[in-house]
Amino acid sequence: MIEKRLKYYLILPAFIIFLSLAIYPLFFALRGSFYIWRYGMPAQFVGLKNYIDLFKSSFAWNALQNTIIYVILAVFLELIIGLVLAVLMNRELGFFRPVVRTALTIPMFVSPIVVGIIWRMIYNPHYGLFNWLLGTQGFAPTGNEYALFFVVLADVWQWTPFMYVIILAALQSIPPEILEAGEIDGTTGWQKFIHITLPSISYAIIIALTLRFMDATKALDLIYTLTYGGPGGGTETIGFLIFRTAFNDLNIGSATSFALIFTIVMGILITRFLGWLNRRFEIV
Amino acid sequence: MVNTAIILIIAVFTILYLLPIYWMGITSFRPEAKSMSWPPNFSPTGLVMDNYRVVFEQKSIFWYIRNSLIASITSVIISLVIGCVTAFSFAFMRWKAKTKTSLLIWIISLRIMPPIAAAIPLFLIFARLRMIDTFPALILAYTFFNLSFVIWLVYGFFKELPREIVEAGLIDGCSYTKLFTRVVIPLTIPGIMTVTLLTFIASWNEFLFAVKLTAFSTRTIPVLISGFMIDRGLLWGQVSAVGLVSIIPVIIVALFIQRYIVSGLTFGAIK
Repeated sequence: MIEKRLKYYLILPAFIIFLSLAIYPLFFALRGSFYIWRYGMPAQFVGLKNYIDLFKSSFAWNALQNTIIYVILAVFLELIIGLVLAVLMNRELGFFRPVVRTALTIPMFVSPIVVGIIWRMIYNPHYGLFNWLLGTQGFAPTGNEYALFFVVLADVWQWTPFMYVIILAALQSIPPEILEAGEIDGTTGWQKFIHITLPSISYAIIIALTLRFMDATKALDLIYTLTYGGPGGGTETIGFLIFRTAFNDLNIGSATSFALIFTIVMGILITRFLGWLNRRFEIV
Repeated sequence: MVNTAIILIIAVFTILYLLPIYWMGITSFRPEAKSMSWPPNFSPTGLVMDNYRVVFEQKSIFWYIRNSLIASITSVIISLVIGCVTAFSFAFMRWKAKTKTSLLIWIISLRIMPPIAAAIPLFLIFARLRMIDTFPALILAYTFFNLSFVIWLVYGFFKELPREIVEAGLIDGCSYTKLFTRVVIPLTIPGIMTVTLLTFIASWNEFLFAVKLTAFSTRTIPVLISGFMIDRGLLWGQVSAVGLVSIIPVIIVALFIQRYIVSGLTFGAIK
């Protein structure tokens, strides 16, 4: 049976790529994480020391805390603003809606590196738009203890359209009969929204939240050009800390141990969640 | 009345929303000495091409654009070919439901893996193979993260095809090759075009692999941009010019993929 084998041959190239570029490097990293290994110097086996140090490292806990705040705040704001926008735009607006949708689509596709630059200009304490809008001058949002919130703001700027586009599409695919049935039953606008509209778009919202959650957790490029993790680690996320440990401090052993724990935790969370999602909505 | 008010609110919101990009645009056309002023100057007057002259003539931006294009386009082509074939196997051949589901979930979980976790070992492996600053290294890294995306989206498009068309093709004695090239691909070409453009954008914008796997001869546009912030101080006019050049293909692409954008953004989970 050639057909029986053909299906395996067809997926073989993809799996060779995955195995050689993801799985092999992971094992490579796993081995490296047991060594004190500064790039360019001989490695020294230390067992679990890197992992133990990690739990004692104040940098790691600080980055974890920053990442959690960043992700929750950014994704929450994006959801709320995106939802409000989508509900407002879900009506007959003629040519207006496609124009706005296209315009709002642009920030999503701009490289986070460029977004970081743009917002660095906006937050410039002497000439930036931010100070101008607030009517102040000299306030440096990326140089104070609230810097993390201003990084979140840049993320919200870039990614709110993502929520908006997905939620609007979901709103438009609700069959009108369902909403009309609600009107006949005499439900008010708000009740209709809570009991009919929201449940109908819950799947879209869950998918959008999942994807944003995943991407925000990995945030690195935006921070690289906007704050470079500063001031004093105030905007350092897990991704950025690993990057800095590996490529600035050249401390490969420590960085790989952190990266592995990060990957495993994320992997468990997400595959569990996808499994649940698949049982509930049959996505595959 | 309500509609007018809402249109007005949204119009203001949209204008505010695009203000940052507009501001970068006009900054790129201001002489460096006037690139920043207080109060900010929004009027599109006093615009000059100085910064563009500098970045095109002295900073050889063409070189970076060329590198970005080589890496992105090659990787997009490889990912598309391999991805479509893989998706074809999953969508039209007899798989045990359980095997297929777990393989597909495994593929998507690779995409979920933080890129930094792959970047460190890949950097070390490519350094050992003396492949740093070569296109194959960059292209392989891009292909790895594009591939799972392509497989998932294209699989979704294939699955939506009416079963009858595919089965009719098979009964007529169509070989799998013919089915793939004459039936399945032509019918899903709009979706595949969207996937193509999205993977192109992802590779064009990619920074983490680009900054570590390149040195001089293969540096891409995002690496050039990041270099402005770190090494050369604050040349706002020039960095805005490079930024704008890097955004232009993105804006053009965004106009083309409106129809499939939701599907594209959600790995095909929402049609």
